[in-house]
Amino acid sequence: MKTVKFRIIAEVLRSLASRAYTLKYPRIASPAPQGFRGKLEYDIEKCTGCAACVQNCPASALKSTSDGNRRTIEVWYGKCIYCGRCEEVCPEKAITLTTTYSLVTGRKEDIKSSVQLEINRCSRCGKPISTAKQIDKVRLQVKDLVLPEGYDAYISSLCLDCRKAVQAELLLAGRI
Amino acid sequence: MKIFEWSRRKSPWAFHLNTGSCNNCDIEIVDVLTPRFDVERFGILLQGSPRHADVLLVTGPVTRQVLPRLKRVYEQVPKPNVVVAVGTCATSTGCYEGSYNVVGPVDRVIPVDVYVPGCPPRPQAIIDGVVAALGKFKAERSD
Repeated sequence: MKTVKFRIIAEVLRSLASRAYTLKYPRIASPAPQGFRGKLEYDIEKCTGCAACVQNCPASALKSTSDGNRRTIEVWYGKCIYCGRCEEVCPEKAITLTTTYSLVTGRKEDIKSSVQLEINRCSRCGKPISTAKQIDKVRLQVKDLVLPEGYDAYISSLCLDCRKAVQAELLLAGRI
Repeated sequence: MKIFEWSRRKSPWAFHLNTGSCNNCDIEIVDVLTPRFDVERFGILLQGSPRHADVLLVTGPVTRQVLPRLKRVYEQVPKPNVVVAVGTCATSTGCYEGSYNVVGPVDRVIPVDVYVPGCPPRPQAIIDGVVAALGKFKAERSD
């Protein structure tokens, strides 16, 4: 009985000495802890527009649209479930989920952000192929392959159909 | 009439309605009422009846079964009022889009004033949302 009383008195003294438990939130900012998955942000320098994030988004918050000259990857925070899947699958590490959490808005169409990338066209038939950055990246990956002089630069400027046709022509001519 | 407007801004009473959410946003709303966040600092009280409420906190995509209830609750809330859509599901149905039993998002059924996206939103974001909604009462007063 005596120890219980002492415990209560100790608790009262501790409470008197400590500050209030309530956060003074709107007056004093309360940042999210490290590792919190908040607002998604793109690194425009790193993004190649491969749309791996679009394919893996479980909530379809990300959308990729191409109009022939430009590919736009757009994220709508009103639909994002902040799962971090896009951050995981991004091969360029261009996506980070920041600790920004307050996305309060009166117009839900406004909370969007997007990346725009240039699309290369086929040098033979003019069909859009893929983003310039992505083609450059693939060329960098295959640079160790032994190819005829100027071949990879030419072939990477072609669309899939033209590439097949050109390769067949070269094979028949006996040049590769 | 001024005293009503003043009291509405000073002490908005909220009613919380779950329209088929996964309870995650509901837990965060209850969190806002705990001593840690203590929205009674702003006079916000959770009410048991929509007839006493100024603020309607709606969570979840609107399911087919809850649709008539949502309409009825909205009609019972005295006007002027504000509707806060809490969470990604209430904002845009989130990953439930296209489901056979979802007719939402909330703004397809009732007019929404403030959206609080997040899955779930942090309690701080919900406080931001309700404070932003109170700004609407203020705007109405100046008209």
